[in-house]
Amino acid sequence: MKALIIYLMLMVLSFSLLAQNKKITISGYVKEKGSEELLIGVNIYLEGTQIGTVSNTYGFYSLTIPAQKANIIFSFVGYKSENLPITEQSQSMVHHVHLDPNLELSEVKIYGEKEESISDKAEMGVLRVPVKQIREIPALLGEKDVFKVLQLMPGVRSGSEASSGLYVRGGGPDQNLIILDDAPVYNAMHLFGFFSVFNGDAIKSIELFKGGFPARYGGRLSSVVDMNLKDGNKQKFGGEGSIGLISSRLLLEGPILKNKASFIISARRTYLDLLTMPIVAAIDDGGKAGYYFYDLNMKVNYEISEKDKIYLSGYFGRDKFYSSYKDYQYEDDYALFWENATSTLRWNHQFSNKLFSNTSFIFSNYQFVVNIKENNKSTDDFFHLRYKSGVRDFGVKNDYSWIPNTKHYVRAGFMVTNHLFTPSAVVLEDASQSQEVKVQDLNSVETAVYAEDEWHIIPKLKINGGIRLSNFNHKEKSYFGLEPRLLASFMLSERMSVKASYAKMNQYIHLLTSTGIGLPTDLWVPATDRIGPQHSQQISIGLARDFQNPSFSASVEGYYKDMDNIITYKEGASFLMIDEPDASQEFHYEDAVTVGNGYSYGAEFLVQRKYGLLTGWIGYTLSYTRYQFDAINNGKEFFPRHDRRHDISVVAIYKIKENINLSAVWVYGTGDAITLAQSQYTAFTHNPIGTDNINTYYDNFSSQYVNQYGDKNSFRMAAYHRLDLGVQFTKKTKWGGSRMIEVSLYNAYNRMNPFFYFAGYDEYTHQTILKQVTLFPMIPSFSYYLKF
Amino acid sequence: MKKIFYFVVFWLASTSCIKNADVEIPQSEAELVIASFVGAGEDTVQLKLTWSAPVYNSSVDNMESEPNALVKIYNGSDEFLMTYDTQKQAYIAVGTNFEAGDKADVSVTYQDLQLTASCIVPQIPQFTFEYLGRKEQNLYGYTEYFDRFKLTNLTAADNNYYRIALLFYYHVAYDPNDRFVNYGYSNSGSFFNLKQNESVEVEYYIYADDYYVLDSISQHIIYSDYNYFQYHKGLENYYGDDFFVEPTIIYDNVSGGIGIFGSYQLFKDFTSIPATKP
Repeated sequence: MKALIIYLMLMVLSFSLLAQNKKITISGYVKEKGSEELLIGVNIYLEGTQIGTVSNTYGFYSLTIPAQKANIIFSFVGYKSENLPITEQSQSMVHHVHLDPNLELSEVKIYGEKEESISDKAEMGVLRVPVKQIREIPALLGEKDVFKVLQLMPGVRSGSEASSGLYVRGGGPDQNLIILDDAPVYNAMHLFGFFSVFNGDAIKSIELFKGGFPARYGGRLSSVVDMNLKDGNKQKFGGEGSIGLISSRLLLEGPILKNKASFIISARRTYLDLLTMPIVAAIDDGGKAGYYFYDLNMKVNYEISEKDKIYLSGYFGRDKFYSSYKDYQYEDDYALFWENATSTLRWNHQFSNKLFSNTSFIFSNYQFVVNIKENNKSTDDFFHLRYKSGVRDFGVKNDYSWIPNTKHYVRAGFMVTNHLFTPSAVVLEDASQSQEVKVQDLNSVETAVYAEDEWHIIPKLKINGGIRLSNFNHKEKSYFGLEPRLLASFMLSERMSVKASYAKMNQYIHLLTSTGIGLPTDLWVPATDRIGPQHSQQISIGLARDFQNPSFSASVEGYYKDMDNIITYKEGASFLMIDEPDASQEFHYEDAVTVGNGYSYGAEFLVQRKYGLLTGWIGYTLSYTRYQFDAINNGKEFFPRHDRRHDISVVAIYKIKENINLSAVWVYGTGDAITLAQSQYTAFTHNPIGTDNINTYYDNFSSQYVNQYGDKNSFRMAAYHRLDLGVQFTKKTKWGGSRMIEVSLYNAYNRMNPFFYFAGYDEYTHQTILKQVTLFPMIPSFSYYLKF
Repeated sequence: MKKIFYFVVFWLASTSCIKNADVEIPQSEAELVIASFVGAGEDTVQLKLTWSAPVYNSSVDNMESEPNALVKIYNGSDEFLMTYDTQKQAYIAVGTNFEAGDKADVSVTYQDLQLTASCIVPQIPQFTFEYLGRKEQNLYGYTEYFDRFKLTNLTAADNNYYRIALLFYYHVAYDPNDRFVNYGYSNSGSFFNLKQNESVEVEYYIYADDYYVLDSISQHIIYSDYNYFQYHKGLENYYGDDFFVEPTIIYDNVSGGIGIFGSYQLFKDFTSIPATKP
């Protein structure tokens, strides 16, 4: 508390000192030339100095500087830089900037110094991947996936082969806050995790925070993935589409009112079910079966005035398995689907050239549904079952950005969210009885207030200090959390800095997962009076260095994170409500789980080049993660499955010609830690024998065969590695659009990476041997993209 | 859901590549396995000795008893040679008479294998065990009956390991001589670690149709050491290899082999229950 008061006093003192010189404020929005798309994270700085700022999530910037002869540079990765000269006579002004994305090949070599710079930023553990780069990286079956690119970054790993799940710095997949236009997405997976739900075509920006969390983020322990959808072209109609091996996509955008309002809509659907429909019908006369997923992103925005803008965005995605059978007597329908829906209404208001606010009204819904309908037409007998589980959020969020001068960037705000968890809702109906409805809803309210300031104390020293106060109410139980956040960055030289951070996080919701691979049956549940919220503390320290000619950045970060009150299923427990949807007992998840703690530490190295003819990165992570639960592994510590000692990724994209891109990705990771049976034996149970001498077959012992596993997760799967290659040919069309053909090769050297192991039988030796299943050997793919 | 998941796994597996795993497997040899529980005040101790069978790359599949070992048990002052009973397929020592607080040690020698384990017989606990009555539950037109009990620990210790074991005696309605006994099952489990003055309520399903008649319920409360508790708790949770289920690591406290050597205090039949048909 004392430190906070001193901090505030110093802040006020610095404001008053700064007020003594004549200052001017340049503010406005940074947009993309041609489309008017607002640009996030554009560097705005005084040429030749460290003085500057960046545009916020809504493209707004404000720079207060002394009135003097200087040049303000606006620079952003992949865009031509702009400059704005000012003089001693300049006055405060509103200046909207339009950056040109159309770089010629020759210009590609020139730009990109300030954009690459990481040493002068008051942030740590933040990963940004330009969306353009995501589209250039080869992908399995040509399906570009935002999350799979994030997994190539140090400190982030996937759950299993081709899975889109994120494991960040030893944390579980439940510990990631995934937000799309401020709305949380609870299940970000299609097809059991093989694809993420985010369609890269519609995404404008992606940031992943894995440490050094600013106070404006909270609610999860391990990471925040903050994504924003594009706004849509305000100048002209256009679109793009692609045809791939398993899905096709289409994006349309354009003005509703030129320069005032625009829309964007993007859709994707798989068509495996359509292709296999005739085969299924041929095999099973009268039957239909299949699987598909689709997703839909849309956004409209309207500029009410210079100072007010509103945005309405939404996402809807669904995965569905279905099967049906019909003949003269029976008519059966089975469907299983899971779906996410989010919607955000945002209002930006600019109070002054230094004060900006955003208010968001947020809706998010995730549900997993099973529908079973069995009808016997001859007897009028029927059985209908509908099972549902899920979580639904309604929330409001209000954020303020105040940029009084170049030394301070103050953010503050609050959020209130109502979570409605439905672990189980069953509607059962058959011919013999009336409809039976059993619904269990758990209502909770989560609130938080925060304030943070990015403060340039002296030219070489920046800090980002903040505090977040959170509260969670479930039934009569109320939890409060105080979450201090601090990050300091000190410039050791013009291009090198040392950084350190501390963050405390609280997470008030838990994910019940049987397998850790992101099944739709995974259940979100609230902290209760019996199972409290999860907590974590993370410290990290690192060095960041920027290089010139060629320009690239390098960083090394070490971290230590401890996690308390994390949960997992007890040994022998699982939650498959779907197997017994008519269970009469109310579901109390607390009975099935055990509470424990964990810690993770490691070092991450990253060399990254975001701009130039050759772009990409090299990442290496060395990490150790251990968990401990009283009711797991007899209370002894163990490595969770996602513990990975070494993780290497190399990503290279080379623009060989104006219209040809070559790309390659190589990854290596230590094998997963799993529990493997080593031997079997007869385990005897002690039986107390009753006084009545009947059933003499009861002995003092009863027996069962059990596996001897050794310690939990004491076996390591084989190391994972593979090489992906891709080439893209782009050609401008006569009518002003472009088309692209992509050929890629996943797992180019056909590495047989194990997806899972099982006990098989060897006919020659007559022994049980360990066998493995490899999901994806070498897989070529071909995609065709069209932009118009 | 499970069926669909397995279908997907099958589909993936059938379209994927299956081969022998190219990874080093922890080479496990067949080991001797002990199971023995020392009861305070009981005259006899039995010990089961069997072999384990390695799962992978082994032709050994014999998990039978080993009758030719040298087995000894100590109660702190005396040593007892345990002899193999072919009918019970167990080693037996008579006259051991372990009491609360005694340290028990066991040793097994077989060829060049030496197994040892020890435990301490728990003190006599303070607890109450009450019958809370019979509960009816209607589910989709059927009525089910449950007998409810409450166990309260009064012993002042950080960990108090209890097991509730109830035996339900029935006879067939049309033939009173046709009697049988069932070990009761509770959804809450049978093993509880209770702090002082902490209680647990359990309910047991009872047969309640025209065919079976409940005669009596024999109640056993076992107060055990950690070894006994942790081992049995593991077995109670054991589900085998299932993709969806957290594998259970069975506790063992035997050095030189696998298995369990635990101890307990046993208390019987101290509450009166109406043994009538619901």
